Amino acid sequence: MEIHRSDINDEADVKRLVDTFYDRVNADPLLAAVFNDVAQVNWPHHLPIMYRFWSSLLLGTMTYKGQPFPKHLPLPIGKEHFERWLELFKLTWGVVGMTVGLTVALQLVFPAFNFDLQYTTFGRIRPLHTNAVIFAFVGNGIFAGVYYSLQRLLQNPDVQRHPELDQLLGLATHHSGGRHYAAPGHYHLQRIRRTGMAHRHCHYAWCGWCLAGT
Amino acid sequence: MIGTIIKRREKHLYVAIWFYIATLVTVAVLHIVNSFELPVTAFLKSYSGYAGVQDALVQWWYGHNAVAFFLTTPYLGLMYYFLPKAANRPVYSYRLIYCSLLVADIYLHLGRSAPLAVYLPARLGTGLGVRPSPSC
Repeated sequence: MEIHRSDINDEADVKRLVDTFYDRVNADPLLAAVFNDVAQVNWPHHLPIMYRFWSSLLLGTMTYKGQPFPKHLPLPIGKEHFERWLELFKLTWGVVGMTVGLTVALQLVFPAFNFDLQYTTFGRIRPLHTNAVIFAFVGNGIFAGVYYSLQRLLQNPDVQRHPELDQLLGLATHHSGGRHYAAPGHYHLQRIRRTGMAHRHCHYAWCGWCLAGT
Repeated sequence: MIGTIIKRREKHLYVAIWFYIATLVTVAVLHIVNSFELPVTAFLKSYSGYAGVQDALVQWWYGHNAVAFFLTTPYLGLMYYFLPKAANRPVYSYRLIYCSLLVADIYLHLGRSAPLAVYLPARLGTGLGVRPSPSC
């Protein structure tokens, strides 16, 4: 049976596209929860806006007048979602990059894995493997890890607090009067007493090393 | 990252953050220096600003330190954060971590000894007794 697929030519086609998409959204447990429980979307009101938005994009009708960004800001899409997003990207790129790595490794033993195509030869896809693993996999890992740890280490006001972790790293001791064995403040007092060197001098020395190195 | 550091509430920068800063600064410097190119057409075509041995030297200074400051220092910083958390005890020596950061910075000088497929005068080596290798 041949399925008829038409191009999107008029408003009716746009409506069919939008309806089909949001039917699927409502069938998805994760996304449906955000739309219905959290945002409590009023579908009869919302769908015509979506029709106008997509017909403006696809048909150039310019019937959509609105700012989608402020609408999404109050949604509970927070730092933890962004962290999860980066972590998932890291995992996905890890699988992609290492699959390519496995392929190039196999090529060294079994030449058939070159598939007799110039695009799949070792020389072509080995850089793909290293780029994917280093910059995509490792890079997303850096983003995720630094994004997570930096805000907690700096006790930024809008981050979810982890008091037991702060305690562990000795960073909360100034405020809580807790154990001092890893407290950086304590460490610096000791060092200044011993060397007479203020903390910032250490930073100048460090910058000097970097400049000399480059 | 810089903005997050500026608006911080904790005065002290835990040592992991210095690893992050080292990563940010050094990766930027590496890419800027290594990507120095002369455009030869109005769009998309350009040649390296360096030639021959100089080009090889710069490229492997980049390559070596890309490993050091993209693959190593950020994860060292992350380990100094996540490892004590996972082990449920503080780091053994906070001071030693500062030393390891200095070691990482010395490592920046060793870039010139990285795998070079060209013959490079020994005086362009690290000066630390490590000669640039002609093969690998």
